Amino acid sequence: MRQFLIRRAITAVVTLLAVTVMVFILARMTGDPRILLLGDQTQTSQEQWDAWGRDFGLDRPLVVQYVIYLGKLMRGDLGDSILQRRPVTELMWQRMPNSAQLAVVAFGFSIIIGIPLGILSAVTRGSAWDYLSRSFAMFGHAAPSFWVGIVLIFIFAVGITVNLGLFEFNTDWLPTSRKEAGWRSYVLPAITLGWASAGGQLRLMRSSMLEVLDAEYIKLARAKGASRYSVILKHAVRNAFIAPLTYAGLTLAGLVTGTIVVETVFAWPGLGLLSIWAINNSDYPILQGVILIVTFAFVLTAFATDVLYALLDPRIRLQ
Amino acid sequence: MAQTQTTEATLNTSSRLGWMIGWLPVIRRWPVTSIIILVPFVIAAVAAPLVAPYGVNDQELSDRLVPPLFFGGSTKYILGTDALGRDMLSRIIYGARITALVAGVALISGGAFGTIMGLVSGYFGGWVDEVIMRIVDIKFSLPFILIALALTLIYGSSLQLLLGLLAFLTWGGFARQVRGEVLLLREMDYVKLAKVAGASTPRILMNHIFPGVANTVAVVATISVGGLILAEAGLSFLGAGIPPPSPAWGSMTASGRLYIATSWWASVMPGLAIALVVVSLTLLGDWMRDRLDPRLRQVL
Repeated sequence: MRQFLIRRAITAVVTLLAVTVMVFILARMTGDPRILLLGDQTQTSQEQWDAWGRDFGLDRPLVVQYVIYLGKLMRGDLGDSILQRRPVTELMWQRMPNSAQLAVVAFGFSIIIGIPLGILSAVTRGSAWDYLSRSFAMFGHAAPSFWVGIVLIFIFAVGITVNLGLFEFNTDWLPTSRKEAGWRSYVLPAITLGWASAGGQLRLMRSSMLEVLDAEYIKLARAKGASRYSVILKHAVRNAFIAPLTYAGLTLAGLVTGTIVVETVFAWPGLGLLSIWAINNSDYPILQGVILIVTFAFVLTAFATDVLYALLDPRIRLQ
Repeated sequence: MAQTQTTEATLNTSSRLGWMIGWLPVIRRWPVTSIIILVPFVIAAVAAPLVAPYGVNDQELSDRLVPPLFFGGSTKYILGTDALGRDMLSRIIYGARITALVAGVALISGGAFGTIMGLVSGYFGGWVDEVIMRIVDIKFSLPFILIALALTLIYGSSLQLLLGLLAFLTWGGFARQVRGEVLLLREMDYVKLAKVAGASTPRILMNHIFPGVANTVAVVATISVGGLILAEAGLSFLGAGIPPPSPAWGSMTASGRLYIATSWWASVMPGLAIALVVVSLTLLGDWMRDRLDPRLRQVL
């Protein structure tokens, strides 16, 4: 177990370092930081220029520059935004809760929908329920999230007038964006973001259930006269749950990236919208901060999932 | 595994819908849905100028945002027109070209690179394997969209960059799967015999091992092409794809979004095209996997 943990931790650290190297190189490719600082002032003396170079450490070898950069990162210094002239960390702290809330709600949605439907789908294999559930999963996986968001906005925010002869109603039940606060503003973005992962959970839970339902101990439980529900819920689901659990960790991490597109559709003031703003305004430090944070979140979640997985399933540890 | 008995199992189901589906042997045997959608898609991509009723950028400013047929429009514009009075159907047909080209080139280049990496990694093992697999791990933990946006910010959006990014997105999956297969194949007697007979390493890899993983490569390709199309659409939607006025489906959806309150078709139609193509590719991928390489069911 210890060896597994150490090995896994080393991989995580190497990944994080690789990302910092990449982001550092990307930062150098955006051009000389002095030019970015100068902005509109084109006049500067050679001494001033060189002095800045020394201040930023640009006269040192690239490797030294990278180490300095890494040192700053460790202390939580991600530099300043070029346009807003404020620390990137501060800007990100303001937006982070919004993204995190959305990701968590979407995650909850994907579990609450995906797992039970997966169980249902496996238990009623070949039936209409199975077919419908799998279509739900398939479509969530295939439809681009931005498009799902737009369609949902059209149906539930713009509204369609439905005429049922005796009475008619409009389906404009939900708000489109964060401005109109309250839980209702979470519904559409969370469904948009969570549908694809709900589908993933569903498929995984289904196949894992099917495998477990074939096992000898299930037959034994049936033979000894346990009720259908007891067999499914107590004997099968518990064992089938491990695979979706691993996936759940990755889902959560994937949702963080997914928010970028969904936030754009719903004008949700999170990290995604911040990074799109940064792109449109060529504000590289912000973008770099978001990349680092998102990767960090992903690597940590993946690590935590693996550890949890190893704790739950002894077979993994022994490999 | 259990699903191999599905055909029999579906027959004795209680519900009506399931019964009907189970009884259509053609649908069971062939990926009919995929064929129905993909054949027109391929025709549109290959022969866009012949099939499309109008040119890509033909504008009729007096016919702006005309609704589709059955929604108040006429047969003149079956899927309606966009805010500049361009025919949606024609643009979607030309857009199929972009989708097919981008996904195809990215898939072939990324797939070839990933396959070679997988062959090398699995065959040589040791530190080579370790390094390549760690790189694949890192690749999988990168936030693809953000990296793509950063590179677009630096270099500006272009077709070459887009293709490079998508190829990068897709190679890891190939490398992992191929490596797994090669680990088994290299222990086979015929590979050992080839080595004894004095065959060179490239020859062993290409003539003796590659044929053994070709099925896997085909399956991974079909399964990952849907993801590629979605990634391309997402980047186009965010403005990092091929720049307008080229009719990429993602950017069409993005520009139609502004008119969602009055003219839903301008964004719903191109998005629907993406969804339908990806659904059918996914179905085709599942079908191919079951046909060619059922062991992959556990992994993919």
